[in-house]
Amino acid sequence: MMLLAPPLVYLIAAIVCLFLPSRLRPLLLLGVPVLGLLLILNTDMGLHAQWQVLGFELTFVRMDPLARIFAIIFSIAAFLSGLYAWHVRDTLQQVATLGYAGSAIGGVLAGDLIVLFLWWEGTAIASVFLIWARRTPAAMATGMRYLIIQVLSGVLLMAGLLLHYHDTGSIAFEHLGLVSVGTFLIFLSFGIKCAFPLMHNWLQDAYPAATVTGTVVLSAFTTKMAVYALARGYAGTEELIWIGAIMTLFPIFFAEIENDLRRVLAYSLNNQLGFMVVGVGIGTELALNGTAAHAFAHILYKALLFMSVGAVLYRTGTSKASELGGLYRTMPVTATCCLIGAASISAFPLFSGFVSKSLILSAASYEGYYVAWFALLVASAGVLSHSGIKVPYFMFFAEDSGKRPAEAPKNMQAAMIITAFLCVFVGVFPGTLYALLPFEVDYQAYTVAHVLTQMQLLCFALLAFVFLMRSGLHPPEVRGINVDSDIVYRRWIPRALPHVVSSVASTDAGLRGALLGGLHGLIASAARVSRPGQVLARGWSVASMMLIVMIVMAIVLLGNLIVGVD
Amino acid sequence: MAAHIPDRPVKVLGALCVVLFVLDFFIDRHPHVPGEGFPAFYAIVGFAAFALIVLGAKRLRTLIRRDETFYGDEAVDAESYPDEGLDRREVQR
Repeated sequence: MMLLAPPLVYLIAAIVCLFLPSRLRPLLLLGVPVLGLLLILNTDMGLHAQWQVLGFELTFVRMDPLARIFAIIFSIAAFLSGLYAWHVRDTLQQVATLGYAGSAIGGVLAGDLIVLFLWWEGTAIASVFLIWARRTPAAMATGMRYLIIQVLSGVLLMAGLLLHYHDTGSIAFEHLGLVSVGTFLIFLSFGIKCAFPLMHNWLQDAYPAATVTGTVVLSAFTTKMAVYALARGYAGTEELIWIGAIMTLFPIFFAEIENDLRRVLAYSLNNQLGFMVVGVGIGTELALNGTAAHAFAHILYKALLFMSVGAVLYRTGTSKASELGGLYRTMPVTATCCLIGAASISAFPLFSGFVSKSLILSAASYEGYYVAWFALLVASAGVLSHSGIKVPYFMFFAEDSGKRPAEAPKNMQAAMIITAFLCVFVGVFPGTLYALLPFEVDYQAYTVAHVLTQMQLLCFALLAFVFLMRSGLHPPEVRGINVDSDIVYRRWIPRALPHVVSSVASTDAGLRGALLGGLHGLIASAARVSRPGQVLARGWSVASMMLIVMIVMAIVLLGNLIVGVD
Repeated sequence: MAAHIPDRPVKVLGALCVVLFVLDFFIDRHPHVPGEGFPAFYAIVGFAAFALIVLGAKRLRTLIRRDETFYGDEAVDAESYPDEGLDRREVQR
């Protein structure tokens, strides 16, 4: 039994954090991920930290290559976000960050569905405080919406787990597949956290509402834990290929016209998840390697992009594209790091996205999923449009906004530079990333054909951007929001609910009234016919009584003959 | 809103595109997918996809755009980021 399971270290640190003086707390946020990472790297493959609870054998640490790569990148993300938030003196956010990162690592190391459920809810509860920490009424409302959806995902997981246990007698978290109501509910639960189409809006709603540093933390964990869970439980489930392909495409359009750059990145995150989900759906070793590699690379460049927008927000008070422009003059470090993040997510050769996305696209073409492959190709051009161009261009270049913000604080710069370095390092030395992948890698990202085709795709897409800008066809950045499917639960249902309630109430009252009225009438007429001298109170002769009985019996006999009851 | 893109990078990009286009006829791309072997397949897809996405999104905006205050104080869009969490600083001009 392993006493110091990595997630436990985070939880203990979260409690310790409450009592530390504010000077020491940032150190804890840097030290714990380092300690956690060392523990993860020194844990042997296999099952550890197993406890007998209520007749169940719970496994808190299952170390295998798939779990390990996610645990490693989560630790790196926790460290980088700790550095980025070095200046923050808000105990709430610091405790929440530790609890959240620990829960996410716990989730990917979970060896059974019950332990997974515990950490699944842990991420929901810890992370909402990163939104509430903004401390405005709007953030409170947004956080509540976020929490309800996250907890709903947990409830579905619990329901699915119970049904699955009833069916199979097992709580093991291995390959599940869509084979029963139980596994379908678990699939839905994972789908909510993974932001499947129409279950996605919590992400775009909540991430832009969190604090400057909180959004960076949020971007790393929840959705990638869900990707891991899908890869573990539903690899090779063909439905995921189509779900994933849709996920890569539709958010692009929303990202393109969104004004708040943190929400642009949230849509873009959704689109990147689509690539990973397609990889899980294909389910071959190459595809699952692609999913794991893309999750690893994605966490880094997405964090980097959120960091750069966060730095601009921190200095200017806004992350809206319509209010920004020309900031490269005074924020050159942030601008450079943002461009590296943009190049990475766009998958330019020598940057991390290139070496991870190629695996998934190759897997799709090898397995003959040509439609999905084409969708991913179109989506790759779309990624360039919103994350590759829009985010850096409208913040740092474009029309001069006249704003001359100071460069980001030193700690933010350090976090961005390290993250940018890692993006380039992975891109230039893909072997280092490939060595961590769940299956053995026999793949060459840098072939002449790969580099040529990717450069053609991206450069001609850039050319389209130049053409659209110069011809004035490119939509300008304007203030406003774009409604998405969340309008159903944010506007339509709340608006319709009072009407529905009042119409149900009035129908109910009307029906009861009518029924009572009828009953009263019946009682009154029964009373009327029973009065002295009325029909029921009259004396009847025996002969006429007998006649009535005979008629009734004749009817019953006839009826029996016709219906044929013996 | 036109231009705001300086000429020099555009020229570099244009030259790069020409080179990439020409290279397409000299390098075997090992196509796997039907149609992938079409001349300049990736260049065409890149340009067309980008243009269609941007123009499609522009169309979409006419349908779904609302005022920032649409969701009132239930959403962060209408509020400014609280100053306590910021360190606004301008460089000395």
